Amino acid sequence: MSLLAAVGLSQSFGGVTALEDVSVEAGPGELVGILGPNGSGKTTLVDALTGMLRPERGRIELGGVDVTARGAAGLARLGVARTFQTTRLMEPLTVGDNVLLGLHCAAVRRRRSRLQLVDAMLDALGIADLDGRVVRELSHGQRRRVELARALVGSPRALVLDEPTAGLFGPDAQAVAQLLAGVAESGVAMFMIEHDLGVVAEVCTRVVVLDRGLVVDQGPTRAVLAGDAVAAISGELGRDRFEAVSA
Amino acid sequence: MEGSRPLEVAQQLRWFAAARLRRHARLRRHARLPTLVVLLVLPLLIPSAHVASVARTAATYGVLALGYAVVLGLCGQFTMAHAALFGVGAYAAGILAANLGVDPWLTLPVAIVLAAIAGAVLGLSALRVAGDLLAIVTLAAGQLAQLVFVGWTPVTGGNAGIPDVPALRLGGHLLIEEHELYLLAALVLVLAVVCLDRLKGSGFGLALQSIREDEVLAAANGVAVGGHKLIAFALSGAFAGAAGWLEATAIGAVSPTTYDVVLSVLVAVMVLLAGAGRVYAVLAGAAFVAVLQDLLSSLPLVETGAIGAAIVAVIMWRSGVFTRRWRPAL
Repeated sequence: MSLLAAVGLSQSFGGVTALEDVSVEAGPGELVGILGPNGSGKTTLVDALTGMLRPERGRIELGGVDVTARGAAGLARLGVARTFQTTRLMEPLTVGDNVLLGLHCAAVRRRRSRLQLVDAMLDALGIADLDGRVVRELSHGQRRRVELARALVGSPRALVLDEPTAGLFGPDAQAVAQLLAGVAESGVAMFMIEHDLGVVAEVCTRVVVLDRGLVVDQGPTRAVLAGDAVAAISGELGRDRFEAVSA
Repeated sequence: MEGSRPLEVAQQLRWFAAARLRRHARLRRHARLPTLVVLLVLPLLIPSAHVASVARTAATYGVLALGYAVVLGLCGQFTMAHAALFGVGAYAAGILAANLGVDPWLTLPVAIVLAAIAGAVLGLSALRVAGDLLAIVTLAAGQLAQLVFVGWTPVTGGNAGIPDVPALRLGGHLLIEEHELYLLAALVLVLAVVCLDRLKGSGFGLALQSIREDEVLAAANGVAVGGHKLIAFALSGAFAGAAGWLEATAIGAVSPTTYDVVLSVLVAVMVLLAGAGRVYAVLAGAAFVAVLQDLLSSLPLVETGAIGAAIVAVIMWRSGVFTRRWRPAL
């Protein structure tokens, strides 16, 4: 049974079709990779899944309930967290405060307990030493991890990630990918836009391929990555790297 | 599990270091309030009614500016009708005490609640417009409030205002000495500082700051952006209402000319001079404006020029001249 699903989504912007009858779903413990070239509708799909965008047609379901009209804040309160393609953080505030914002909807009310959760999450992401630092001083990779910490700290039911390993390299990207796989295994339904096919092959349970707003392929990771749809867009997805990883 | 022991120790050390940093920050924060109290005592030691009067104005402006710091500093909403909310508080106190004979002390909660409601109504505009447009819309709202203050003569007294607001009475003693009035204003100011400090450190304060930084980010974390904005405007109004009550009961009169757009600009200057989100620096901004007003009161032309310069400064701040956002026009 799916936990977070988009059913028959269609959306266009000024005559350009961004999504056309797109249906995707992620069940508890599933990490669904979303692949596609630039302009294929990936971010539009993520925006719709997280209530940032109300689609022209179709609906968003959380636990089988239609939540299309709930909006971004409403979906966040229901346990849908997200990260952004370009990191969005409170620049003049500290790392700790930024992660603390992820607990805005959490049932934990005591400040001390909240701070302990923040500490634990920063530690899990290997950035405990950044706690008191102001976000605007951080590198791109550090910012990416702070954003991830903020999304994860509230123990969301569903998580939608827009290129979570962008800007991270080698062991750092690997560590974040493993962390996300672990989060999914704990029962969280996850969607993840990702260009690094190595990461997709390693952690995703299923993959959806979008092209010009259409779902051109979806299914188990290995089968989809070996299929024609990925081959057709491999130039933009770093297929060489995938082949190197899977070899 | 011998192998995991060093990791556990390392984790505990990191948590300890983070907790120590937070404790130091808390200590620094806690040292500020006693410092403020000491500074607030100083005017009481100077046997001059004039100094006490200026200090009272500074304290009243401080309460007003702290309210503006909620809506601008924490929530990032640039409004230009704060003087109107100040006026609502003052008129509530004046009308109830002078026209209806209510004990002036009892008019304080009414002034706060009415100004908070007016603030929330003003905040409705922030649900539809933002940035400079919000400033223009609220500027117009402030002018409308002025029209009501001047035009609703049977209630507000029109251009004459309310000339005879009864003085506060404490156990049979009338509070009319400048030093006593200053002490009262200073007490309200300390209370306002404590409230704002707590607000800033709370989850609600963090949510307001997230709206200031990025409304999309705030919504993605479950912050009800519209609702939080309305509450910020209402809180801001509550502070302004308390300041208005202080002004009306201290001066013993309410005059519509006090609550015009010039005062709104001055409040913006008080807050922006300091850096909008810094509670204690905002008080320095308020004191600076009060002292400057007093020094220039005998030089009306210079005062007008200073106000003009203040307006230019606010516009320049909005265009980002004082920040890294500014780029010269090509």
